[in-house]
Amino acid sequence: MFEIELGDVQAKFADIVWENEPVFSGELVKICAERLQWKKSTTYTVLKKLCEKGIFKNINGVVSSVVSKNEFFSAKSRKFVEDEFHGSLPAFISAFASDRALSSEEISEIQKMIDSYRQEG
Amino acid sequence: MGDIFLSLLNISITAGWLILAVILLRFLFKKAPKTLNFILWALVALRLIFPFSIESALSLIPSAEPVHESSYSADISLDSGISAVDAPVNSLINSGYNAVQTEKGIDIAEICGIIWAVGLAAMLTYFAVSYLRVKKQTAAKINLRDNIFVCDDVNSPFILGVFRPKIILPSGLSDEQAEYVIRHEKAHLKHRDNLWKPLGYALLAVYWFNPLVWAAYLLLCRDIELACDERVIKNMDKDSVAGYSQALLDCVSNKRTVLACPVAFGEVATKERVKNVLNYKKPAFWIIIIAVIASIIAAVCFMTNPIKTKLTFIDTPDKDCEKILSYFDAENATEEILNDLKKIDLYYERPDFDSLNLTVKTETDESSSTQKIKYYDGDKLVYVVYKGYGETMFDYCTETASKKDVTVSYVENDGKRYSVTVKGDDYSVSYDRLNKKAPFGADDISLLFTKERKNDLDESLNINVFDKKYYVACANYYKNGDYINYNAYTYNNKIIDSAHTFIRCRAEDEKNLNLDIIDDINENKDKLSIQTVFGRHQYSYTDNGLKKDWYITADLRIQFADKEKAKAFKESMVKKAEVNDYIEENNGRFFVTVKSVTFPVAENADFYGKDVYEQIIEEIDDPTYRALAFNAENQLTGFDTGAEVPDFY
Repeated sequence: MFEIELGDVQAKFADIVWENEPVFSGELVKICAERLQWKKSTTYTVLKKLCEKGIFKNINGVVSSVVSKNEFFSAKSRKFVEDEFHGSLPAFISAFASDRALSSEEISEIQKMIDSYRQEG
Repeated sequence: MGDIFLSLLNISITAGWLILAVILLRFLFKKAPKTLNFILWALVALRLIFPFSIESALSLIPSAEPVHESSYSADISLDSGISAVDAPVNSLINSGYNAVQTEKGIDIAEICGIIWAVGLAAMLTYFAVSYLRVKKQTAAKINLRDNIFVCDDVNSPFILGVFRPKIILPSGLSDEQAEYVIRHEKAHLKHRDNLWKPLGYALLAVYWFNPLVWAAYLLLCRDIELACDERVIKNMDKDSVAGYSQALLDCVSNKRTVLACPVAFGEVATKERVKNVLNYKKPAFWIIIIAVIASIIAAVCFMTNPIKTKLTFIDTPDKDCEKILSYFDAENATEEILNDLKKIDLYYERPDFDSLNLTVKTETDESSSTQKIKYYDGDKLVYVVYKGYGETMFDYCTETASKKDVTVSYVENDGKRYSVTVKGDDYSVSYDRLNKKAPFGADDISLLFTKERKNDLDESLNINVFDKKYYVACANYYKNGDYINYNAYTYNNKIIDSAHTFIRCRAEDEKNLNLDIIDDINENKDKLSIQTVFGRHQYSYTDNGLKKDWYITADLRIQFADKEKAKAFKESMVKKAEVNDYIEENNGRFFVTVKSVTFPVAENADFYGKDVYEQIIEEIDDPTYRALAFNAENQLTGFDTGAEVPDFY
């Protein structure tokens, strides 16, 4: 299991890792130094925290993800729906859609999702 | 170290008055814009940073130097202007001081100075450690824009850094919240709070021992926040104000507060701030005016020092006693000078200079490099400072008592004795400064008459007892023993607690005691009769540890019937003492004068009784032979008026 909560900073870092993984830790440090102006120790500290959260792993100096970005955010969304909409996906979607109309692309995408889900089931 | 601490202590005490005034004003003018508070705190900071300030008659500060150290004995005393505080504090200080002093020269001021330095180091260390911790904590931050950063590991927003400040926001803020927070923090930067708050902390680190400075710092922090809030919501509509308050609440409602670090801003009295924000109304113009005026008044009253009429008393080292007193001259009546030599107990007897508006007159004597600085209250001489070679040697305060009447008794050329009483107003007093030693006895004094006398005395007749055989007796003074009697309180206290002594006239070292002359005299006392002459009478005592002895110094005029014996005695004395090298002859008798014989008075002598202190100079017609008095143990105890003049061989 992994922890779902990510602060803004950790989220940004996680993005960087997901973008570049698998990556040597040294390389990661360089990237963070460039993009975030982080020191080496800072990068390692944050990396360690995320490894502890079960999202990434650092083996033999290579950083890679345990949980992919997709996995992570769908888990997050699921949790959100559970917390805010008592697990009712339709409720979520109607709340989501009530704000604006769904585009035709979105509709067909959702339809595909439902269909493949049905197929799996 | 001790000196630094003492001056800091003084500065902080005087600044404390200003802080109290600011706290009062702050309370009274809650409705005024918080910028005013900031100006007031700036005044406090100025007062703490710059010890020099302008003197003003409007100053309400009781004393610019509440704690002072007397330069001789390093007694520290407090004069805060509140005597109810001073007296107990000072007796505490001095009892403590004396206790410490007995352990060879440990200085209380030095100890305090060291404690202060430790405190300062602790405060600075705390700052440094806090700063480093926060820096570490915010290492993992992401730049949002400009100098604004987001960080996961902080719970409320603050500003990091003094010179290149960064705004640190906690992650998870909504856009609306972030907007308000950023506005608030930017207000801080516009006010340059990132500079003022560390400066305030620096002052706190230096003056950590003063609780008023702590109060000032905490209130300053509070005011800084409130001022920023005001700046942000000044032109906001009601909804925005509500949104802002909400953001305030949200940011701080998290239990884990940012560590109480001097560089962070987050943690100040949220409730008060929200209340302030919600109730904010633009202050009425007249309130602003009044507040400004009140602040100016406060500045004048508390930023200026009182005019320095209080001069510090010094203890004079014994050897300088004579030197100092020799600078006196005729302008002041002797009673006043001698009277005021006993000024020791500052806490009870010093006049209140604060209520006086004194004029100052400085007289410089180029030849002796001395300076007299006189303080007059109208015409009355109130206070004098004697400076020699640039340094304050002696200062005292006069009680302008009127001079006593003087009875002058003199022998005219017709051989008859006359006496006349001269009123106090009619004479002035002078000393032979060069040749006389303190304290002055009657014989050292010359009287200058200022008015014509009925008895055909010269208008300015120098009456010098020794030379012209005039006898002077004053109503209350100038009898030997008078000085000591009059200053009995002082002398008593000297014995009890010498730390308070203003003048300590000590006898010379033991070797100057003419003990062998005394032996000779003792040996021959039934063979000699001795007529005392009115030399310098110096009453003094030495502090031999606990033993207190009294000494008398006198010129002895010793009478012989036989010229050869007189000669022999003179020769035997020559090496031991100062002897007149002529032998006086008068009426078939021969006199040898031995000068300045110092001999101890027996310990058990009654100090205030006639046994010991004798009227050397009397109103009586005849020059009386004075016999020396001896007690049962053959100790010389003084002079004996009543004794029969022994027959001489």
